[in-house]
Amino acid sequence: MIQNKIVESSFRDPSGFLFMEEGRLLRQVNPVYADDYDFLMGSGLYEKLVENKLMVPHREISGHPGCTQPVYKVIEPETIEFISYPYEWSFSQLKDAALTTLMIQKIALEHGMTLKDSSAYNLQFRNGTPVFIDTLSFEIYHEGTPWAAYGQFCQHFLAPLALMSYTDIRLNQLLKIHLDGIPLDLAGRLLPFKTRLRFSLLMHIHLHAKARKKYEHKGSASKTVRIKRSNLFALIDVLISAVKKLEPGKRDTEWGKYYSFTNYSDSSFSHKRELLEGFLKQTGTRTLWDLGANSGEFTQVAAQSGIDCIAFDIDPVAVETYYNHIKQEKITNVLPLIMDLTNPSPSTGWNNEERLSFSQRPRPDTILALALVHHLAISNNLPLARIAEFLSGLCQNLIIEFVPKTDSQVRKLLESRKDVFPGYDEENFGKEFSAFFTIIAKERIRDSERILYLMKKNR
Amino acid sequence: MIINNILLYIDPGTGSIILQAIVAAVAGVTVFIKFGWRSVLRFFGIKKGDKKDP
Repeated sequence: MIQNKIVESSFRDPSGFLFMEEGRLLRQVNPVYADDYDFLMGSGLYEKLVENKLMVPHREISGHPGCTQPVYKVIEPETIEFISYPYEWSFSQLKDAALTTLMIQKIALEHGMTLKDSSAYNLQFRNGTPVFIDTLSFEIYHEGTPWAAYGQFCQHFLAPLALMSYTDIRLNQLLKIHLDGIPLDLAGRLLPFKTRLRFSLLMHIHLHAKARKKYEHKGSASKTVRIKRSNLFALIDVLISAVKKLEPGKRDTEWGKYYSFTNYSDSSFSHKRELLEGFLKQTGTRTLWDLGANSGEFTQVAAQSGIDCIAFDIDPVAVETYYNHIKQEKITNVLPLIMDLTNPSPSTGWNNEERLSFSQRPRPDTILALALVHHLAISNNLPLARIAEFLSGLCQNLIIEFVPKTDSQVRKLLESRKDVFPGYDEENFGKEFSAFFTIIAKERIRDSERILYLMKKNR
Repeated sequence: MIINNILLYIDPGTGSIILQAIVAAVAGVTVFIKFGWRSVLRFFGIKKGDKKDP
């Protein structure tokens, strides 16, 4: 076993683990999982899932370099460039991941296998859609066996979706605290009474929570439970229908209709687009993070030039809007994610290593920060020097917009508070950022007071 | 024992198993009735064959 190279998200499963070997991500299959692995590969299930783009493909590696512990196989799965987590997904992203899980379980049952867990962390977004990444999650199905992962499915998917739908769309953030899904009794307490009148939520969440409490210390009762295969299929069908019926909760956010309230004229909007296109060409950008992307109006400029983009925004409604857009338009090179830049995703889980923090993940060539700096500097009291330092830790190129105090959006931010930002002006902005970046180009956006900068990180 | 193999990895939870058995049985009956009802409708020519999922 190669202790020091194990990927920290995969150590819980006795079937195998992920490790890094000379820059390659590999997965060891332990001898205990041999029968299940052979069944997965031989039953046609693997082909079916890969063919339908529901699971990442892998190839078997001959020889087991560096492995000292008994090994059955070493496989090299197709890698996902950017790992994201359920607490960073919008409602529909989590919903699509839930439906993908159920679809996989249904296909697995048809092939005589079953999912032994249904963690939301087993899915990632690839080319715009969710894909299953844990090849070792399948085990041979024995007639009459209940679905061991049913409870986990309700915690990881149904409970957060119901909470986002019926209580508040921001409640996906509970997943950040509860890494094994939202406890059903907690979900039950937070959901409004009317959810008890919906049969699916009454059963899968409210009564489920009660049943768990009742049988908390009575392990033996479950050994006698048998469920017919046809009823398991029916269970998957009712779960699919329960998930499909859930819709995102309505909430008027400050950002939801941002683009109808901006102070841009059509001409400054198109000038900003032109400048951005030029800067992107000049930098030869291949990967980009758009920070404060809103619903992706400018991320699309980069995406249309074939750049792989991740669009971060604090607002779950904006991320939801953009995800639905990329889904509808079949855009494959953009991943919209929820992120509060003033409190980005931390590293969490066992030993603080299971889930990566925002800054631990692969960084982009270029960062786009449009209409962002005034929110950080004025709404969040962040000194310009700190913002510059933070951004310089993330990228090589920076395309950033400076919004001066005279801009109506900034005036609005200052209306209700004392102006304690004497250093917030164009000159200081240039000075503070020059400590970390070299300013390559600087253009005033037509018919506005805003300035768009192209900067390169100092060596 | 039916449950032995699934105790290997995650704890399925006794309450979850029992609740699941009830929900699955209800769902099974519902699907059976739905299927039966559709067959009756089809027999009388009221409803044509099921639409395929996209």
